[in-house]
Amino acid sequence: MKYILPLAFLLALMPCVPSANAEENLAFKVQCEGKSEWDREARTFELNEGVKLTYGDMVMTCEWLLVFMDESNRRPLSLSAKGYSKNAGPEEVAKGRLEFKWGRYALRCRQVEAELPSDRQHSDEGDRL
Amino acid sequence: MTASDDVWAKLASGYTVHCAKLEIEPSEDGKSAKARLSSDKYLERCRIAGENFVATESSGLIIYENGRYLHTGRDIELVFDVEPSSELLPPDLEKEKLEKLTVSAERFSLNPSLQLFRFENAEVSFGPAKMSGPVLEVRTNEDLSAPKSVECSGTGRSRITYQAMSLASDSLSASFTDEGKLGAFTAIGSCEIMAVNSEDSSIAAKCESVTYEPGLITLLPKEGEQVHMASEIEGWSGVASKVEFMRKGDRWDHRAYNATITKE
Repeated sequence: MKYILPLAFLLALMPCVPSANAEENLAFKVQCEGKSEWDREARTFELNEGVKLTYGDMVMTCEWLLVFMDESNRRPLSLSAKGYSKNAGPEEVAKGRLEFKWGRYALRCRQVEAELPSDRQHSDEGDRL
Repeated sequence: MTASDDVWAKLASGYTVHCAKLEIEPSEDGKSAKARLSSDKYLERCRIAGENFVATESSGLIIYENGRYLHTGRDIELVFDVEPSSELLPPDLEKEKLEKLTVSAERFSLNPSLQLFRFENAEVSFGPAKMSGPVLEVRTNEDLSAPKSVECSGTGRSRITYQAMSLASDSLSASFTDEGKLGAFTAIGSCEIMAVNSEDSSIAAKCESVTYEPGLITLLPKEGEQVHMASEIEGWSGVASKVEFMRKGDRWDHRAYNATITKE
């Protein structure tokens, strides 16, 4: 069952984590200027146009975003994002780029797929690539 | 995380990359990570800028583990002594390689933590000198900004060409000056050398070892044997206990010790 959400959409999910700081750090927030859909059966949020996501130390701006949630629908498990809108023509696809910052990574590309961390921020200690 | 389709990225290590696909895979415990770079038919070469070097490669794998990096891959062209970019975009390799130490190789492994870069089936060029060999190891200074030495080894011939001189041998090692110029080199094992003199004649020689220091190349035989030399153009051949090539302008004059020369 799909729900169409309002044009200016703000989603803020707080996963169940022990401390107040950790809660704030892992708050999952998405804004979008276009159409947003929540598919309860598939446990996905689909957001279109002017999408901005923040999650812990992750910040992304893109034109299309699909977020897969866990069974409780409170925690995001993974995401797919594109730098162009869902029904983009070849010209928009060619120009479309998303911007993605995650910890000490910074990316600009057309598409991203990512598994999301559950109980920690993007590790500053380990992922020094 | 997988980023695809014309990816520009700045990684936590300071590497900047441009590739068709970038896959970043942290380990379960978050203490190590891998980044895999690949090309496609639209973007045939991955570009990467590391600490004081830039490179293009067809594919690469960067592993971070225990505080160290290892970068391996195929078909690399690498230029040393290039400032890392402060922006997302790696520097322009074509401009940089005109005057910097450049390596091209079929396979490579870069270990910046050890200042050691290992190349297979590689050619390295620095100014007028070119060196090639089956296995080529470049050691750099601590900040990876300049090469300190190059060693060619492995099964097969190592070669160097430098200012109207070419040399092939079983093994070859060279050191660099602080300015990144060729300082000295030593070749050992079945050396075959050819140098052009000021009359534009080429002189060939065979010997056991060759050493170069600025302005002077010294050829020595195996113990109990002699250096063989010949000039087809001038029509002579001979043997000597030692031969030297001295730099004269952009050519090499020669001097032979205890020589026996036969004129055809």
